Order: sequence, then structure tokens, then C-alpha cells
Amino acid sequence: MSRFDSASSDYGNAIRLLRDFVRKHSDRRVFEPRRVARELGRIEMTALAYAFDALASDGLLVRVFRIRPPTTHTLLDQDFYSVDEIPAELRDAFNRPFCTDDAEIVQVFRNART
Amino acid sequence: MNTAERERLFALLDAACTAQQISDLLREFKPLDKEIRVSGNSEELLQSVRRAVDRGTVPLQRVLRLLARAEENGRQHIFYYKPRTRVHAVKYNDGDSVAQSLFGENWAASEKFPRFYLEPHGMKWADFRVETVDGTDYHSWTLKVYNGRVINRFLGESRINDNRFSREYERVLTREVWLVRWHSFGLLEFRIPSHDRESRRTCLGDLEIFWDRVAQGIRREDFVEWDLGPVRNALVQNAEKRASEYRLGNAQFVDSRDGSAQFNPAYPEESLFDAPARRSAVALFRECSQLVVYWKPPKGQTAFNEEIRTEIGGYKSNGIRIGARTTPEAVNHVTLRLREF
Repeated sequence: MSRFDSASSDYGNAIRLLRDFVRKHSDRRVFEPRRVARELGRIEMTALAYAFDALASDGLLVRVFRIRPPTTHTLLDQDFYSVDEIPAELRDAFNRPFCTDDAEIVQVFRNART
Repeated sequence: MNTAERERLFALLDAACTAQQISDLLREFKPLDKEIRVSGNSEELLQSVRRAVDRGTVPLQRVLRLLARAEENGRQHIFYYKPRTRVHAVKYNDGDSVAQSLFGENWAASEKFPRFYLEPHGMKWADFRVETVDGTDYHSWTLKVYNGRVINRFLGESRINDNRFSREYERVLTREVWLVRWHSFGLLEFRIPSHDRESRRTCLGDLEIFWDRVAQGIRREDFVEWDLGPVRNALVQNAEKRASEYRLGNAQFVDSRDGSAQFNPAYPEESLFDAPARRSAVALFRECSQLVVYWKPPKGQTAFNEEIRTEIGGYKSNGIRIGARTTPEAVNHVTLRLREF
């Protein structure tokens, strides 16, 4: 029996919803929980967080960190596997340097197939 | 080529080439060597190239040529110039005459281009070539320079005791590719590499150095900067009509009193006009000062299959930046599209 079947019904629904969402958006490189919650509509954040964990454990998604610069707020497309890997300085969408201490570090999930 | 040079060559190939470019090279030699693998990721393909070189199927010179071409496209700023008059356009259409001004009358025999440097020290002339396209009047010439500079690369910080710490730097030699490219339709490109340590000052300083370096053959007073301001405005105005060709990302606008406003999608895969509020607000502005454009690969071609991200108007109004490594066809595609606006 897979963990999808064994999960409680709320969490099981969240997992199914998220799994379908990931398949439907296979062209998307990363999934940010906040954005997915908005696009899915009515879903409990706790259940969604559980669903992300479950799909990461099953190898469908990979947990990575991305940076939201203080200058443009456009999420950068570089993946970091740990916070320690993030350099002191990065560049925003207009190639302007910024100090990553001032940036938002966002946990996102990368589609394991991309 | 010794082992260290060979390792350096493959590291450079890894950094410069797309998987498609490596695969194309392998496909060319596949008929001669059935053991060659032509599919896989970049690492697997490079491994296949290594083995084919070891077996003597793929000549090392052919691998060097692949690198020489691949390293010319992407991760660079391109500054565009137009000839000042028709007379200047005619003058620069004669590539041989430009090369003679730079290298002397017998340049082809004396310079023996293309030259290849794994570790260039200072500025080294690397190539001057004239290219034509069959069945068309179009031709181009390309002047290439390798530039090697010693820089201090920061390695890290370590604690000695409660009051003392040390910072470690390593002296490394850069290997930069600088290009001038002329298109017979009357457009000159100066390509300067884009890197992590750059600033507006260093990049524009490099551009000045490059103009000085080539001044014997390419005179600055023969050209005017191609102001991409009207192009940026037209790209914004036509974005929805030409959605199959490109999409817009981040944009900065200037208002009638020199103030500015910046619009930023939350994600790189989102477009400027995805949010109705952004679209309405952008309509209030007439002048776009900086723009991120994602060019879509045209249908029916195979030279590039991913969007090409360009920043237009960053350091100078006649400049664009292509951050990722890409193919010659992709860079040409961008230049040709810009001319349509």
C-alpha cells in the first residue's frame, strides 16, 4: 500500500490534488507552496505542506531554496540545495548585484524530472 | 596536449557548450564509430567525446573548433552600432580591407587564424573570419580576441581565534572571449563577456578598451550607437499581438518628469502582462528604459529549443545582455528580431 493510500483523507486529498497539479504543470520548473495554494484555491496550508513533504519523499519533487531579491522581488531561477550554498552576493533580473542577507530565502520544490 | 591541458579543455567545453552542440559533434562522427553515444546529458555526452578522442575517431582539432565557436555566444553584453553613412556601410562590408588595416596586407598568411589559447595572458588576437550564407547576399565578418587577466578569487573566511580571522583568496587567470561582428545589412556588434564580478563601470571600461584595441581597423567615428529605446517601446506595445514570438518579463519605465517605475512579475516564467493591474499601469507610460524579453524558438528550426532571455538597455541604451550560454543561431535570431521593431 502506497503512502498516498494510507494517508488520512484530508491529507490524502491534498496529496492527490498536488500530484495532479504537478503533472498538469510539468513545464513548470519549481513549485512554491504559497503560489500553489493560491492557484489551487481552497486548500488547507497544513495539508498542502504535508502533501509537498510526501511528494518530496516519494521522489516526485526535490526540495530546494531560491532567492527573492529585495530589488525586484522576482524569484531567481538558481537552485540551492542548502542555505549554506547561497553566496553573499547575487544579481537580480536586471543584473544588479544585491546582498543576499537582505533577500528572502524561499523554500520551493523542483520537479524531479526537469 | 598534456593531461592538465586536456582536463582544462573539457572543463571549458562543459562550461561553454550546450548539450545539443556536443551531440551535433558526436552525430557527425557516429558513422565512423558505432560506439559513439549521441544522447544523454552534457556530462554523458562529454564522456562520449573523451572516449571518441581517445579512440582517435574525433580529432582533437575538431573539439577545439567546437569550443571556439561555442564560447562566442551568450554570457555576454552586446552593444550595437550603425554605420554613420552609406559610405561607411560599404567600407565595412569589405572584411578583407578591415583585416588588412588591423593585421597588414598579407594577414591571412601572417596571422594564421584561427588561433586558440587555453590560458591566454593579456589580449591575444584569435580570429578574423568572413562568412557568407548560401543563396543570399548576406555576409558577415567576426574579429575575436582572447583576454586573460589575473584576478583574486575569494575562497572563504576562517576563524583563527576569538579575535582573529583570515580570508583566503586565490589568484586565477580569466579566459574571456571578446568579439566584434559586422553584418552586411549595416550593423556592428561589440560583444563583451558578462561575469559575476562585473559592474557598469568595469563593463563599459572594457568596451572602451576594446574600441581602442581595434581602432586601426574599426574607427569609432564611422559609427553611431543604435539607440534601442524605440525598440523597447515597440516591444512593449506589440507584446500581446506577437505573443508567439516573445514575452516580456521585468520592465522599467520613465515618466514625463524623469521619474521611474519598475514592474516585476513574481516569477521568471510569468509575463509582464499576466496581472491585469500591471498591464493597466504599464499603459500609463510611454518610455521603457529597461526590459527583460524572453524570445521563443521559432517553429520548425532545431538550432535552439529553449527561450532566450535578454535584458535590453541595462548598462547602455544600445546594449543587451544574454545571461545564459547559447548558440550562434539564437544570438542572431535576437539581433534580427530587434531590427524588426
